[in-house]
Amino acid sequence: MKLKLALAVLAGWLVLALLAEPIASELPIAVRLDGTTHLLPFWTRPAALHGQTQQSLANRAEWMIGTLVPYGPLQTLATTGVDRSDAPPYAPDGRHWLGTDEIGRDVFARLVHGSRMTLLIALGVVLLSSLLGTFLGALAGWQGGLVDAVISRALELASTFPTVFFLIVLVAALRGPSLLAVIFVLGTTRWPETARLMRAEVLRLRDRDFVVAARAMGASRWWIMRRHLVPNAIGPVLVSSTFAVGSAVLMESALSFLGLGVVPPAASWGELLQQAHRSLVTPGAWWLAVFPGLAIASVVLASQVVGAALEGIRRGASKG
Amino acid sequence: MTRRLLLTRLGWLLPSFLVITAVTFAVAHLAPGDPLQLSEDSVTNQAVIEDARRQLELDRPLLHRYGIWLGRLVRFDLGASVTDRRPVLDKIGEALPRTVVVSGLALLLAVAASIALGTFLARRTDRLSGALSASLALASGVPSFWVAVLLLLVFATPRGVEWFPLQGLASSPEAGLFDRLWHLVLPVACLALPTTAMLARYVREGVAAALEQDFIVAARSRGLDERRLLLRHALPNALVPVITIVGLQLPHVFAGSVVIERVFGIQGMGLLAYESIGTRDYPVVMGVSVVMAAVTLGSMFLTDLAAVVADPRARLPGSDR
Repeated sequence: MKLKLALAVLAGWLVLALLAEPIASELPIAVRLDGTTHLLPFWTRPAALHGQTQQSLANRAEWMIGTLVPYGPLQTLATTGVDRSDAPPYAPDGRHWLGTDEIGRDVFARLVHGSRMTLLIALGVVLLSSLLGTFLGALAGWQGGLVDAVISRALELASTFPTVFFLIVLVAALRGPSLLAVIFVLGTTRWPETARLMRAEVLRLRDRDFVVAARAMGASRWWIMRRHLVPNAIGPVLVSSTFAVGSAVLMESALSFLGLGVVPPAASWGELLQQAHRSLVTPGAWWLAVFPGLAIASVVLASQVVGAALEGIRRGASKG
Repeated sequence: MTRRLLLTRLGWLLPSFLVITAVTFAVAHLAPGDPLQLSEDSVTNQAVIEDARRQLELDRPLLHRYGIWLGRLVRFDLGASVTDRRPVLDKIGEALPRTVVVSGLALLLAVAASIALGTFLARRTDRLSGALSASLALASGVPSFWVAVLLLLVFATPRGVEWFPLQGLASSPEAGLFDRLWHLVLPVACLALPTTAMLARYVREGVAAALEQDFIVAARSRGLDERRLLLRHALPNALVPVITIVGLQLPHVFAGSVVIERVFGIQGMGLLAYESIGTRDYPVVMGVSVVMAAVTLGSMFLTDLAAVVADPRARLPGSDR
């Protein structure tokens, strides 16, 4: 039950991330304007629709199929066609389901588009750190001796040294934040856990009969590591990678919150929270802080539930 | 043998320190730009810039500069900030106590709260404990700065109630103790939250596991009351692994305050690091990294030591720990 809910949450966010444009965009799903039909203009970006919004097209087009939410993530008050005497941020209402920020951008649109950025970063980070950790952990466990001592010590240092400080320094060195830089930076801080698990598993497996047999048959060390050790030891790594999705989302949000993550105006959940903190000076705009935080919490908790379930399955399998 | 293990650990300290500072030094200096490009008044005269660069030895090779920096470090000379010419030691001397107070209190609070919560949860399986477990899981899944922003929205802005101050550590430089403590409530609570959530889980599992062991059953059969059983027998056994986790968590609490410091406007080590990197103020960055390295290595070593002290088995000859 809990697991199904968690999987549904993760799947839901993936769908939202993939279909961000058909859900919320300044351009419609399809529109017929001046005798031509434009299909999915938010992806094709035809020149004829340059600078247009669903609000401006509403009067000019012959017909139009609008998106679920007719606002893009970067669309400000000037083009959303909202005519109100008071200044933004606006509270949630029928028009803006989750309200708007200080320049009238729709929070729902930014949240949906931000999910793509945040999940992309999280998955990239998990992939990179798992690969790095698997390689270094397997190397340490398999080679032993000095290699093991150095890698183990580096692992201890890397997992104890304050991540945030390292991140701040590293982001500065990478010529400012970019998507790949953020993935690289976060990926290099997550590897110790994977490496520790991998090392322990390889140590457990290295003297087992099938490994000794492979060695006796003349298999090279690299071959044994690749074909026998890593596939057999990958279970715990997969479980920890699931948990890592959640912590990567948390780290991305912290980094963006410090202004070191995704470059504005592009949206990510951390960047949305940074906005929320800035607008504490115009207090009362609770919707800016609450919804992105809930989104982060939902992904983190869901990945924890799925991770725990995988761990249970793995334990059950190794017992049985 | 334990003594040999501790000696090996001691031997690793210096190389580890060198690695941390060298990596920070290299990474920080590889960042594009230098303090002179970023400061406003230096854009005018190229000759002046070159002169100042030579003076700051920014024209020398990286390794050479690291050597010079190390040479000064052993004489406790961290140099002066490039931006405001103040000695780095002074700047750290101002920032460090703030961070130590905030993160020290947060860690104390987290340890106390997690032991209480974990012990409580280990023995109960009713509604209340279920709800508590769920909220602990929730607390570990939300960014602490988000909690901070929400708390500020509710407790420190005109729209909610203005019970707590919005920014800073004191209303005025000569504020009294109560005022200072009042300013600490929200930052410390926010910083302690994720650590509490994590530690409580370990304590709960540890106590639950300890309560099932034979010596507990034996003690219970001798008629020991539950309270004594829990506090004198089960809890100490459960806390041994927790010591290690707390020790290794300390640097993260220490540095995790950078986000909290930013939310609450506390001029601590985190903000110092953040701002000095932004202005490429290398002496300050390196000064902070020395403190970070010291905290990291110190808590690693003390954790090893504490594990040996806390667990008598580790003192046995021939034991591997």
